[in-house]
Amino acid sequence: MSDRRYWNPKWECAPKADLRALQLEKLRRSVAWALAKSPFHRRLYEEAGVGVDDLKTLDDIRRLPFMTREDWMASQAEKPFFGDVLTAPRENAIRYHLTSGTSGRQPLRVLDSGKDWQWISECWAYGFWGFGVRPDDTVFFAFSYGSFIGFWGAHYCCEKIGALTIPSGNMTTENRVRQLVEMAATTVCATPTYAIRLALEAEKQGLDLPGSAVNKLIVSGEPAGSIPAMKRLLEEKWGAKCADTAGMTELGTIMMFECAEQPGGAHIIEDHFIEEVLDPETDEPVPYGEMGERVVTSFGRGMIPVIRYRTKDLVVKVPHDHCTCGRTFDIYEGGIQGRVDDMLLIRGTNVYPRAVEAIVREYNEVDEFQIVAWRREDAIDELTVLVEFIAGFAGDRRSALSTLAADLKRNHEGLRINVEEAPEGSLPRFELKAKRLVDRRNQG
Amino acid sequence: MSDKPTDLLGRPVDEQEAELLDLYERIKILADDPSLAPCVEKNLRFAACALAQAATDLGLAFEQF
Repeated sequence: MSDRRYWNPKWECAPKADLRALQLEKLRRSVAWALAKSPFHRRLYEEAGVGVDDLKTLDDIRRLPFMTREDWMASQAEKPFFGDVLTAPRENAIRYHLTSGTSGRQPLRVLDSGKDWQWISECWAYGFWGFGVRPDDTVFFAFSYGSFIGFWGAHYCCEKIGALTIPSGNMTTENRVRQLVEMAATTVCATPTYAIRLALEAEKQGLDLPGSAVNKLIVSGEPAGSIPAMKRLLEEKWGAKCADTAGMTELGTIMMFECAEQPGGAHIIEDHFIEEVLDPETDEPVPYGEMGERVVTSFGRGMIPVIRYRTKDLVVKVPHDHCTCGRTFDIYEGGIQGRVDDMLLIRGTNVYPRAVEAIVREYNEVDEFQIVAWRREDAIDELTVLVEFIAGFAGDRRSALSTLAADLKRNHEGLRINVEEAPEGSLPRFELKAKRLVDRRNQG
Repeated sequence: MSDKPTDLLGRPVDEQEAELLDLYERIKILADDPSLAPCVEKNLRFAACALAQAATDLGLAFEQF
């Protein structure tokens, strides 16, 4: 009888040596597939003079060249729409998706086969089952079901698990809140930002979310889901446990999830991915506990091989035994901690938007915020955090702003960060990935 | 020489795993029969994807198609 706490007990709890042997075997087969079928990868590996026979140990993965978003985009520009990364003709595909474009760049376009979609939903199932979603759950998806891949895979995962699944693509925020309460949803899926918005809407409508049937909130799409203050806020407003997951359109699914034990990080799905953490400057691996850039190899996406893909996500990997759940999957402590290309250099100090958000979210009176980098006439860089208070906030606004400014300064090596109030309703709201950083430094 | 099926690490599989692998192989062969009606062929292919996933999850098979 298998242990039903885990979606895949055989590999989630496998001895590390077996897990590494499985990864090596899958890596060899994935490289062979890519070499045989994808002109993009064939070119990459032939230029590097590397082949399957060079992969004798898992460390040999470092002999493979990186796959970068820039190269992928260049391939798409040269051979619209999908470049030469596809391993099969588009007739094999059943779905088309594209990246959300939050970084302002051209979106990446992806195609997946029926088999790929089985795998996409499967990875979500590791996470949903691991956080306690079961067939008797009612799962509400506060998601637009559009071209952004987002929670599509999670929806199919819930159908696979056998849970009652409620899509809400055509609903307004007002309707979604009413519907999820009326239908006694036990699990709600949204981005962290949108989950806050739903909670505020419920308060506006006089609906008692903490008293509702919702007991699990599963978030994705933004690093905020692993920020402790944000998680506390979400759990308080929903009266439910909140779990973070993280994935990317380039993978089609999630590669990490928080289990029910919630050790302060998310387990990497190591039988379906190899996650390397490298120093972004030297490309050398960093040890456990040190921050580096995620470089991911996926074993599941057949139509587009993703092998040693540089994600630009910053993470800190710690060993599996930081969690007591019994899984042998390593953990990304604190989830995705930032982006290599998100870092702002303001008057010599490094500022990460996620770190700013972690502080701002400690202030329950803040409804929405925006980080604006700008340049003074004397060429000095400034950072201003615009803050919108929750409707009806009756406290001392000036005092809240100055306390927040002092907090930000203390956490940024004494860097002065301006904090200003924005009029109610003036800052943008988000349903998908939030974009709260505005960099105006190079605008005329 | 033994022709007993093994997993991806070369270890012998148990009875249930062998049955799953056998089912997966048979369904792939069946789905390739050009005389099948679309309603049969497409549902078999859908089932083959699900079986491929189960076999992959257990480390019994790993292939793209």
